[in-house]
Amino acid sequence: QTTTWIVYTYVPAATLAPAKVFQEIVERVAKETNGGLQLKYHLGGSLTIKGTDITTAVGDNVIQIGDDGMQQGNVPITGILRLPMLITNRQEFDKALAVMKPYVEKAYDKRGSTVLSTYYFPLQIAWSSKKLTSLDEFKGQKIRATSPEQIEFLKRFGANGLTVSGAEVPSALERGVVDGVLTANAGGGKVWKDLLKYCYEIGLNYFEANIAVNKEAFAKLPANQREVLTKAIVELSPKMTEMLFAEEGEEKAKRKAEGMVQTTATPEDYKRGADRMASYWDEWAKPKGAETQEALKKVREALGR
Amino acid sequence: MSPGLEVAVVLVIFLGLLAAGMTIPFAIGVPAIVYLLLHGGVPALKGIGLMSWGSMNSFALTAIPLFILMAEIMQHSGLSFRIYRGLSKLVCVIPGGLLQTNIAGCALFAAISGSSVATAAAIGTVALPQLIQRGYHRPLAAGSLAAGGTLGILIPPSIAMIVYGTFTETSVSKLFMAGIVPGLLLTGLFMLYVFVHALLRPKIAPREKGPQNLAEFGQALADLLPFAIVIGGTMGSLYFGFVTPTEAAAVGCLAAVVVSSIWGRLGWKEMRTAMTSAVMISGNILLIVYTAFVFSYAISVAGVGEQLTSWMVSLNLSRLEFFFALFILYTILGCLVESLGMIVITVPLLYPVLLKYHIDPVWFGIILVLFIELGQISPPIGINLFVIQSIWDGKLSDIVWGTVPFHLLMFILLVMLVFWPEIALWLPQHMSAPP
Amino acid sequence: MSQPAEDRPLDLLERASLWTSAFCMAGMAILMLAEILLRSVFNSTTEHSDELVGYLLVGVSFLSLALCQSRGAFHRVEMVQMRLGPRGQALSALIFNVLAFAYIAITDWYFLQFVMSSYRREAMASTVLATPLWIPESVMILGATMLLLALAKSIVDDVRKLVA
Ligand code: NA
Ligand code: NA
Repeated sequence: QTTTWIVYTYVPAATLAPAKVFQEIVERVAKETNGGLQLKYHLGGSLTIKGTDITTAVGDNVIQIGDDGMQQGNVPITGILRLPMLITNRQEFDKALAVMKPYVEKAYDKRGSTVLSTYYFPLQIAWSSKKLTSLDEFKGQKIRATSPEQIEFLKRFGANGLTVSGAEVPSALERGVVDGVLTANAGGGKVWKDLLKYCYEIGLNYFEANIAVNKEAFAKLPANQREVLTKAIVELSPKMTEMLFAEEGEEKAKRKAEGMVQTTATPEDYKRGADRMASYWDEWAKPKGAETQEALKKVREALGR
Repeated sequence: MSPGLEVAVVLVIFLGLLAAGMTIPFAIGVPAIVYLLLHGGVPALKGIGLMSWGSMNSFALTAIPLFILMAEIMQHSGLSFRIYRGLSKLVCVIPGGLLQTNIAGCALFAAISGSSVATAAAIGTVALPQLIQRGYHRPLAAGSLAAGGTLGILIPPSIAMIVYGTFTETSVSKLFMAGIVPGLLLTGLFMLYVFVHALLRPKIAPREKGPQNLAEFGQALADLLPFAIVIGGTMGSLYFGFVTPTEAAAVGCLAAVVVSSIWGRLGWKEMRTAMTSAVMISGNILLIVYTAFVFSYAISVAGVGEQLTSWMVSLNLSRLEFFFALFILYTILGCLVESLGMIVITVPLLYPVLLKYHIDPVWFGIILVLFIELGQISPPIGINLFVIQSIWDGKLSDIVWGTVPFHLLMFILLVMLVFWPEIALWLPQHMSAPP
Repeated sequence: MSQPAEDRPLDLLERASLWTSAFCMAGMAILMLAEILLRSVFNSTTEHSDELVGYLLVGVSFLSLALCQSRGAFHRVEMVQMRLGPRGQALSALIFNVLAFAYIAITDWYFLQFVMSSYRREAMASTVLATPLWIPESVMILGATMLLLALAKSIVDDVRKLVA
């Protein structure tokens, strides 16, 4: 007898690394369970369920597996990993992730799902059609941001952080409604490249996604299927991160060849950024309760920042 | 039940309810629920809340009610009447008369709106009552508006191109540029058809009386001025970078209020009537959009589109056979699925195949947009047909018949694009920014 | 269509439906205009306009339905209807309204489940406002319930016509 599970992701394109690797997961699970567990993978938007609702969709068993990258409204504590200028390289991110793991798992568990794995995108950096080669040049620019935390960063450096839906970014850039965006080379960088001239590589934050399964449905699976599924996700999802980082390098080189003005941020820039943002990190955690504050404190200790 | 049989049963229910006279949105919604039940049982219904919220909490859809409000304000302040009084004088020399302005109006409006539904609704609300009152051929008046509305996604800006660009990582600005020539060409084809049709059968369009003297000519121009300001102002705000395409609808409302206060009769009473009308038309259209989303959700969860597409991919066709198969595939899907659903379901599967056939993704984007346009005016689920139906008091079958010639014209453009891809590709190739 | 189907004044349900959805529609336009003004003249932003505008669209979509139903604004294909006698028309109207009622009742029930789940999970918008989502989501329940009332009214009318 066959069990069919719906897998749903926030990722909008089949060409993106998480979607490609998920195809491997789907195939491996089907093969190793002899077709007993069929995963049906749906790209972001195809089910008209919002990316920001994936946590709820998994918890309610509307979908059984969620590739959940827009969870911050549902699982606010995960926002720590995206506080601008807090985490600036991969070693730091891995350290922070290890500290956060029990907190994130507990938060998902409370919402009816179990996190099997977490992968992440390269640092989100700043792009603009106007000159943007230093922190000071943010001043007066209109930059599209995707979180309140990024908007705060932009505000603190004199830029106007705007929320424009992904679909409207191209026309907004083309017509100058916004001057720039915050995104990775491997993300929006390759979609909107024609409309941008400057890339200021100051990494604001990483973007992580959790692969979560519905707790009840997971418990109901026969033991061997549960094991195959867990193993496939745990073993293959790090590949998503690796592919994304490899792609980040390739795409960056392509942008350079195409004439994008790329400026690397100096350690002093990062220092200035962190100093300017440090007070915000605490302000941010305060209304979110004791647990979030505790987790933030531990992450900052681990990073020495 | 096999997936094919499930689809068949659901379609029969849908067509049965629709033909028997159930109101359109419910005739779409009921079979969608039946489909979910057939395919996944009661647990499948659990997603209704999430998908309803996900589909309707949408910034992009706001353009629909706002453009309708804009049109209603112009209608109830008496501006629309003046616009058509002026237009009818000026277009009297062209065979087809105001039918021509339906199409030109839609094309113009398409340059400020990214949606077919908003385009058909806005121009239709203003134009249709005037045309009927003046005794134009009803099916052609309605059909030209349903078909003209689809220009909304071919002439940039276009929501469909944006979604396609996101899915395939194709440059949206290139897609926008690639849409311009085919968009103008299709507009031209539509107008040419109306021209020829009116020459052959003059009674489809009443003979409008032209301006008798210079003063009347001036008066006719003055009648058009308010409309020119509304459209010009909205377009300007878009092209000078003050607003995004969705926000343009709000600017349009403001412009309509200002212009109507100056040149029309816009008091509290007219504003209230306009608002009531706009609420009722929007509620009607948005419920159809919403139930079409539910239908699409049911089809997506069941994976019908994917099965159809992957089967087609497995056939290993030659290039020309592939085009033919695409035509069949999208004709079938176009009958069933809401427009953006067509992209979401098929593109991820077809996209890798395109590369195999050395098909340019920008060119394919334009082809796909044309197929979506066809789907929007093809029964049984043709969203633009329903939009026009919700504006007038006539029969749905009249609209369907009215759109038939336009189907053929779109098909001609499709064939032209297959043989001369440059129609779409020349502009983006020659206008792309230097590296 | 621009004119209400009947001339009788609006009843309470219709008025509630009209005013709430008109409020949402006007709110959408005003918020967007405010955002445009702030952005292009003052180089600032409302910070929440696109979030709120999304909620207001849900409002227009669902709150307007009772008015549309009650005033006969939803359109139908008349092909078969024209051939039916008055009794046949009344009977088919009854059947369709009961079906529509069942459809909306099911939908409304799942809206309720969805909103309760949102409330339990404390789902928030990941925006500056951090809106508790059950609040705007409840608008769907309100709209669907108002539509149910309008449909119930239609069913009662249909039965009356059949009995008479
Ligand atoms: Na357009
Ligand atoms: Na169709």
